[in-house]
Amino acid sequence: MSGKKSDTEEQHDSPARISRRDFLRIAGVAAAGAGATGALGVQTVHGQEAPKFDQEFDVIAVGSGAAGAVAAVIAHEAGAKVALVEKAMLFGGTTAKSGGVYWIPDNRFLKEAGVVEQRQDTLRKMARFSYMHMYNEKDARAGLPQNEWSLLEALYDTGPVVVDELDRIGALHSMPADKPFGPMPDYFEEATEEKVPVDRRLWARKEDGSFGLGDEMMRQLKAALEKRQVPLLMGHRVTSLIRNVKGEVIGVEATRMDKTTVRLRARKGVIFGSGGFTNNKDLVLQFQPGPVFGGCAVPTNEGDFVYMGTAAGARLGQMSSAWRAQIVLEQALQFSSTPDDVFMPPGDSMILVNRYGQRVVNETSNYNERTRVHFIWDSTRHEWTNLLLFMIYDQRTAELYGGRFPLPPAGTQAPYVIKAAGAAELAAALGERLARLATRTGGQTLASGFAETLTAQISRYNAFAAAGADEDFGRGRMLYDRLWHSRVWSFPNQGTAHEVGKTPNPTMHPIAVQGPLYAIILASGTLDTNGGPVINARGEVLDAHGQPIPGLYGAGNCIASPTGPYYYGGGGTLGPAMAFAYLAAKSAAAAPERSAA
Amino acid sequence: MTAASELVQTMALVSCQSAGTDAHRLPTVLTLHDRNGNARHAMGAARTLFGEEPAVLAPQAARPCNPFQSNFEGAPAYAGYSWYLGSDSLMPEPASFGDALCQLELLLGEEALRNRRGVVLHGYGQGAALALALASYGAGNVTGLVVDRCQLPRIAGWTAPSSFAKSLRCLLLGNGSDEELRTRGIICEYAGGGVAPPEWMRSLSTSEDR
Repeated sequence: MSGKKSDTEEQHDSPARISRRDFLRIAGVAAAGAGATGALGVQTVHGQEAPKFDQEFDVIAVGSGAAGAVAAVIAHEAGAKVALVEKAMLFGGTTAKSGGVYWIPDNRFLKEAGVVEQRQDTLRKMARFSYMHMYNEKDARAGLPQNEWSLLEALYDTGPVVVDELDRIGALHSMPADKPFGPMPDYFEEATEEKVPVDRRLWARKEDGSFGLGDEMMRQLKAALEKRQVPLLMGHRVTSLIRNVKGEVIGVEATRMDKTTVRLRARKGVIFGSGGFTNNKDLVLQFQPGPVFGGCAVPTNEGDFVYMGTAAGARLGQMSSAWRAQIVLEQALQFSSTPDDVFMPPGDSMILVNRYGQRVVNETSNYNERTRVHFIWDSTRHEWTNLLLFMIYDQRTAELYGGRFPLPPAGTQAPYVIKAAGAAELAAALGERLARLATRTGGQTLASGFAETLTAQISRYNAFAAAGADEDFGRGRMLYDRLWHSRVWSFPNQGTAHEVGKTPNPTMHPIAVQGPLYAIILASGTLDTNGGPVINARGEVLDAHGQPIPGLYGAGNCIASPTGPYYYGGGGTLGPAMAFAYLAAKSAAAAPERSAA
Repeated sequence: MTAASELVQTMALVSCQSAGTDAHRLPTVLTLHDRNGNARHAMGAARTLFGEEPAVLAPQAARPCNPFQSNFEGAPAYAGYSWYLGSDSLMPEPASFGDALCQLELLLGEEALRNRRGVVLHGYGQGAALALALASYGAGNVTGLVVDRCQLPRIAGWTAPSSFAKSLRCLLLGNGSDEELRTRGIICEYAGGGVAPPEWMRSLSTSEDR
């Protein structure tokens, strides 16, 4: 199941007069039209005569998020004549709606703060969690194959370089993301290889010295491209790679909004940074490890590079992976691109339970790891036991943390919040809601005994909260849990009757058993997928035999994630995207001009 | 359309709802905030403009303008939301604009808005653009528009239909040109020209009584 609606769903969803699909089509979403992916592929030039191109460049960057924009600006700085081609009409991709944080190890801000990062320690931590089943601490490459190890080395070595280079050329100014939250740990600070006490997050610095989010990051990069007069071809969907008789990529064909096509010559290389495939129902169904109900990626992220890359002979990797996050089920069903995800369920008097009323996860663990619990297949019951999870909370959490998504702010109400007097009434109301959503969830129901189990789980949780230790899932044990809870996602409202800081574990407070109780239905979602063609440490796309496909490069969520499925810390998506965009741009700009004929 | 699909369509929006002192005699106000707005502020603005008499429903857009908004110490207490992407309210990003239109059209079919006196769409900026677009589709039982400007959004590849309700009345809160609406048969009046919104609302119900 994906965030994209089927024809049947679209008919049901569409009110009498307004069609969402019409607007998706206008937005450049290919799946909104017929033959969405059939046109994607490769054209090979035959014969002696050079093919005709409408415009000629050295390097073409595809996509206007962090990967595409960084690739374009770096290739330009390296002396290439560059164009950026974007499928949507809006610049910035998913980066522009993100928090805009980038994870950069060994960055200059850490050094300025006196933090000495040991390359081997960090590389081994990265290797251990990205490729846990292969990890061997005694091996020189930590047990990893050469290419996977080289990618981690490239990320470690290049991350700081790209940040400094973008700053030096005035394309993107950075600052540590330790303001206003304070220093924060990465997403598993208990790793034995982790020796850096503070995190490695950076984000954009505005002119006035304050921090900017994803929209500011993309504003700066867009301004840098415009200043360099790099053409930004918006509303151009790349549909074909163009190859010469030697199999080298020498350009692309793109379809514009008016259905006309344009052929663009790339004398040195084409760099894809076109996003993942969250919004491609078929790819999600075929490759993801379980049901995905939607995601935050922009609607145009439909995995176009998967089709063109494989048509060019690329080897695919990490197709079952994604940057995962929980989403509110009803929101996911209503938006073509989920507006927001549940980074951490807010509240201390709050738990997540499954259809049996059973807690199944540390609610304060990071979003990527927490969401994986949705994919547990119960081999005894033959079901996705945690397909949907129910965020259960009381009046304290509703008032103290109202406004922290997905809790509605004080004075407002949200139809996706279900309120009842107690556990039995809540079970009845949830059952009714699930029945009304059944056509969109595979008929998911609550198990009999839900209310009784929920009541028992609340009692057990309350005892843990009073003692300060969650014996089941270790909630609040890690610094990550405590700091991201109290400083960010569950920062308390002022002026309520409730007190914070009175329990031994700040992430836990007993849930009021007398009610009322509230529930919100959560489902698995993505920030975006992160599988696609495999690259090497130069950003070159590899073929099935591990050899570079000449003239084809990639970075960001459209390629097989160089860090595997593991999310190292805040900015674990954008940091690698920027590093490999930089490497791809340098490689492409330095490549020989490839013959068109 | 099944009950389930209707439910799915109308379940995601946070909203403020306020009963009016004379709600049964007046249209219900559906107030739509601007970019970086929220439901509580929209409710306050609507009450200031229309007084206490009409019922008001203030839905809140779902797109937080800042993913970390008000979630940490030192952040501004104000939490803003947007209906659609794009910094110019008259040039929306199409997919998110379409999402918002679909949600609001379904909202117009909700029980709270099934007022026999009809619904007045009220909005500023993004809210005004959505109100005009909704009205252009003839969505819901819309009997009036109260907007700060009356230009329909510009989206390449999209033309607003002209299914406006017959003799739809529009009260303009700003001083922009009303030519685009007048050519579509909408009766335009100006709040700046001495027309007070509460009296204008009452005139809507009076004309229906006649």
